This record gives sequence, structure tokens and C-alpha cells, in this order.
Amino acid sequence: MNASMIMSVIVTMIGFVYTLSTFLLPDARIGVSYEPKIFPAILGISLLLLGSLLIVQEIRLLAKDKESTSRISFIGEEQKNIFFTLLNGFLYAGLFDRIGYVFATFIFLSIQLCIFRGKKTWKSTLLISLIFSIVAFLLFNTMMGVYLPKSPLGFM
Amino acid sequence: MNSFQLLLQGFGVASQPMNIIFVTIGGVLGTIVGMLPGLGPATGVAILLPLTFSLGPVAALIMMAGVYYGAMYGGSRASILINTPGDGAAIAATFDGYPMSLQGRAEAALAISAIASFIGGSIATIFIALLALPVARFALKFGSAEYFLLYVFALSATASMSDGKRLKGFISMLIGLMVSTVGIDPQSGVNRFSFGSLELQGGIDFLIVIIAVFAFGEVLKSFRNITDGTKKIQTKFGKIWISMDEWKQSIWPILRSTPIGFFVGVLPGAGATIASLMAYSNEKRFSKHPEKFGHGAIEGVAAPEAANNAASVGALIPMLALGVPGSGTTAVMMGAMLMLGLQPGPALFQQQSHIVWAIIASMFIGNIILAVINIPFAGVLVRVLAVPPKVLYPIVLGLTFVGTYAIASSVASFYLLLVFGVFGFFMSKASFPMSPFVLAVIVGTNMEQYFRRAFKIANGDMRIFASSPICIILLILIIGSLFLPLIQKGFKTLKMQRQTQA
Repeated sequence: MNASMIMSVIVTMIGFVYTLSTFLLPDARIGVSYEPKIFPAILGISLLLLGSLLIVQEIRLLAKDKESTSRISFIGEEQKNIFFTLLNGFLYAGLFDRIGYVFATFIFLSIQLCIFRGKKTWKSTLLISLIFSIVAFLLFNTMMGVYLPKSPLGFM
Repeated sequence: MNSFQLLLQGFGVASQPMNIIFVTIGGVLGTIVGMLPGLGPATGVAILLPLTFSLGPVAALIMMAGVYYGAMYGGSRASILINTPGDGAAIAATFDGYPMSLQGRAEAALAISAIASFIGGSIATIFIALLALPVARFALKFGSAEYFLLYVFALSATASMSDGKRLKGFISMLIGLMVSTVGIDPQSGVNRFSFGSLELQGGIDFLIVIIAVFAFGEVLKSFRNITDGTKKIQTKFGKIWISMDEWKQSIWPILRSTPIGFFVGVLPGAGATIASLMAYSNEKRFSKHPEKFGHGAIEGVAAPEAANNAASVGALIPMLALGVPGSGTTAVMMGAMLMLGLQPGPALFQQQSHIVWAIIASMFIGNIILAVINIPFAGVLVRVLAVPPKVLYPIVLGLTFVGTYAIASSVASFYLLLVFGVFGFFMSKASFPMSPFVLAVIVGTNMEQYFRRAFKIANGDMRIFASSPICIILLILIIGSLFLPLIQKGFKTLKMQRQTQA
């Protein structure tokens, strides 16, 4: 199955779930009771129809030309890197408020640079992470007044 | 007051020393971001947006505008020097810009690209100054039904322009509109699609969606073809300028391409990429030596560069005067305006005209500053291209997170960033165009509100959407935008049939 086919099935499913959720929405207490549902219902039904049309189009394309469509692979360097990047993102979200911006960003960026560059360049990786974390903190928090959480140690 | 007086007033604001500093900073940062492959003006404005948070609305928008056209200037640097366009609009600059570099004429290519951008941008700014006010005044005649149809037209035109992927363009648009319906409905108070999550009750911030799709998605895409180092680039140059002969060859292509670029830019969905490619092919057709195109013809750099800068200025007209963005980048710009508490549209021209005219005036000033920066300092600026992508992309990722936190002040926004980043990545992988999605996320809420207001005014009678001449014209345009590609296809087939018969 190619990427386009998978996405066409996914968007049709989104259309189905969204349409169903629209009809399950509570009625409005003021004005016309079904008014908040009209616009979402139009969207949901349209997506359901266009998604189904896309599936048909993809099946026809697939039957016509099996070779040229881009296939999706679930195991490979690219997929592995994307998976680790997302995992790193979730870790970052978990640490952000707990250990503060500078430390969380330092860890996040070090891991991310490792994902991109490998472990061999660890010295420059740590240096880049440290410089970015501190400079970004000073720029956003100190210079531009954007609140960023500080570490439990009280500084940065 | 007429446009000229308002423009003078705008110059008064834009030429204040602090605003000149902001437009310069924005221009330099935009040029740098624009140069980086994959990071076009939309991503540039999105990731640099948090830098403007501590500024007032005028300074923030002047800086954002600087980033916007700075990125347009920068996009072509990488095209000329390493054959890697910063974004779609800079693709045409690779056709002759890179061959010029290979022939040892990088200086002339860089100079003509900056000169053409300057002339194109400046003339287009005169056009915008002349046209913005009449368009805004005309827009005052619009009621809820007209506005709703205008949004439908902008979205359908953008989706239709997705070459060969119209169906996917419309699906992308619908999903964007769906995202905009999440949260408490402002008219009835009904909580929609938030699945009990407190964070989602306030709706999904479109700026987070934009950053996720453009910047985060771009980083995920980079895993596919990232290289270890950078391409070897020339950083030492002779005098970056052009000869009199080269000037004579370039001036007419620049002047011809500027109006093309501007008017293509005004059309929703068309954008700078189409403008620059159109200008290039147009110039090739006009040229006495079309065979030189693709082999280092200076007109081949001048024409698309003038057109893409003019288009980027033209795209601001529907956004500023009607409140309807026509491209991904202007959608981000509109997002920035909304975040600053400004509602683009005709009312903005009446109530806060000093801001609009300051932005327009800052474009003149910005163009001069950018030409000054991009010609003598080209050698310094292009050193950014020497930063390895494997270092650059993690830094962009770091900026997307800090930018998201600056917008939402909540870690919950990180999860949205991750979800929409992955969503954007898979959508792009499956060749779904992302501009209709982003546009829809931004205009979705307003579009629904206008729809419902019109619906209420007419007591549920749908004929309100065909009740005025403006509505009828807009309906014709919508139908036209839906069927134009089919009509074009029909004409092509007919033409081919005639040719075979002949």
C-alpha cells in the first residue's frame, strides 16, 4: 500500500468519526438548537464523500501503475529517526516544567543532535546544545520578556 | 485623506529610527532563513514570530514584513550559489543563476537578483499603495453572505491551484476547517470536539498548527535526504555588480515581469512560485535568444526575481484589505496580525490606518535596506549556507518548541505541535498540498461565523448566498475556480486534437 492510499483511508475515517461526533453534539440552549452542528456537518459529510472518491481514485491508480507510486515503509532509517524525534519531543514536554527550560532544552537538543549526527561528535553536540539553551533563554526570557520555566535550582 | 497623504503618514511612522532598526533586523533574519533550503518565508515568519512578542503592533508587523520579503530576497541566494532553492519561489532562479555561477559570474547573478528584487518589490509597493484603499473601500459593501463566499472563493481557488492534486487540495482544506471548529462555539457556547480536554476548549491556536506543519514537518521531512556536510559554496567574491550591457539586457525583463508577478500574487492560491515560473517562461518566449535560457542568461534571473518579489507584495492586498489571505505566507502574516489583536480587512483601514500605511511604507524602506544588505554583504550572508543541515535542523526544532511555548505558555501546546507536525509530514508524504490546510485553519472560525450570521439574518433561507450582485459574482468565481482546471484540460485536448488533424 502506498502513502497516498493509506492517507486517503485515514482522511475518510476522520470524515466518518467527525460526522458522527457532529450529530452527537449537544443542542444549543439559545437560538436555533441545531445551529452549531450545521457547519461541522457540511464539513464532515464533504470529507466523507471526497475521501471515498480519493480511495476510488487511488485504487484505480494503483491498478494502473503499481511501480511508480511511492510506497510507505515502516522500518528504515528515516522512520527510526522520526520515531526517536517524536519520543524526544514527548520527553521534552515531560521535563520542561519540571527541570526548567535550559536543562530540558540542553537534554532535548543533545539527543536530537545525536539523532541527526550520531554519537561520534558528542563534544560539539554538547557545546551546541549548551550554547543554544542559554542564548535562547537569555533572548526570550530576559530580553523579550517571554516567561520560560526556571530550573528547581532557581537560576535559568 | 487620499492614498498619497496616508502613505506620507505611513512614512512618518515607518521612518522612525527604531522602526528602521526593526525592519533591518527582520530583513537580515528573513534573508538568512530564506537562504536555508526548505525554510521558506512562511516557515521564516512562523519561527521568528516570537521575536516580536515584546514589541508594539506597528514595530512587530514592520519586523514581520521585513522577515517576509527578506526571505524572498534570501531564497534565491542558495539557488544561485548551490543550485538549492530556499523555497518554491526561488526555483526559477536556479535555471540560469546556477549556470552563471558555474561560469564564474556569481557576482553578476547575485547583483541582478538583488536589483531585480528591489525594483520588482518597489514598483509592487507603489501598486499596493494605489490599490489597497479602493479595494478596502469596496469591501465595505460586503455583508456576512459576501464575506462567507469570499472565504469560500479564496479557499477553493487555493485548493484548485494544487496542480494535479485538486481532490487532495480540497480534502486538505476540509481538514483545516475541521481543526478550526474545535473548542467552545462562540455563538452558542456549545463545546465542540474537545473530547473533554480543557486545553482544547479554547480552540487550537492556528499559529501552533502553522509552526507544526511548516517548521516541525520540514525537520521530519529532512530525514529522508539529509546529507553529512554542505555543498561547497563560494564565499569570496569580486565586485558584486553588473555591467552596463547586463543592465540593458535585464531592465525590460524586470519591468515586464513586475506587473505579472504582482497580479498573480493578488490572486488567491497562485503565489510567488507560479509568478516566477510564469515570468521566466514569458521572458523566454519574448527573448531573441531563447536558446541562451538555462545556460546563464541574465534575463533568466532578472525576470523571475522581479516577479516573485512583486507577487509577495501583491499577496498582501487581499490579506490587508479583505482579511482573506491568499497564500501560506500571508496566512502566517495574518495569524501574526490576529495575535497582535488586529483584524485585517476594510475596518483596519478605517480604524487603524496608521498601522496599514506604516507597513506599506516600511516595504519601500525595507526594499532599499535589503538591496543595500544583499549586494555588498552577499559574501557574509551566504556563509550561513555553510552551517551543516544536521546542526541546523535540530536548532530549528529547538526554535519551534520555544516559539510554541511563547505563544501558548503551556506544555500542552507541545503535544499539539508533535501531533500536527506528524500529521503535516504524512500529508506531505502522501502529496497533499498544505497551503489550503493552513489557510483553512486560519480563516475557518470567521468563515463559520459569517455563514451563521447570514443564515440567521435570512431565517435559514440559503438564497441569501445569491441575493446580491457581489454574491452572484463570487459564486461565478467559485464555480470558475472549481472548473477552471477542467476547462483548461478540455482546451488542451482540443488543441492537441487539432494539431494531430493538421
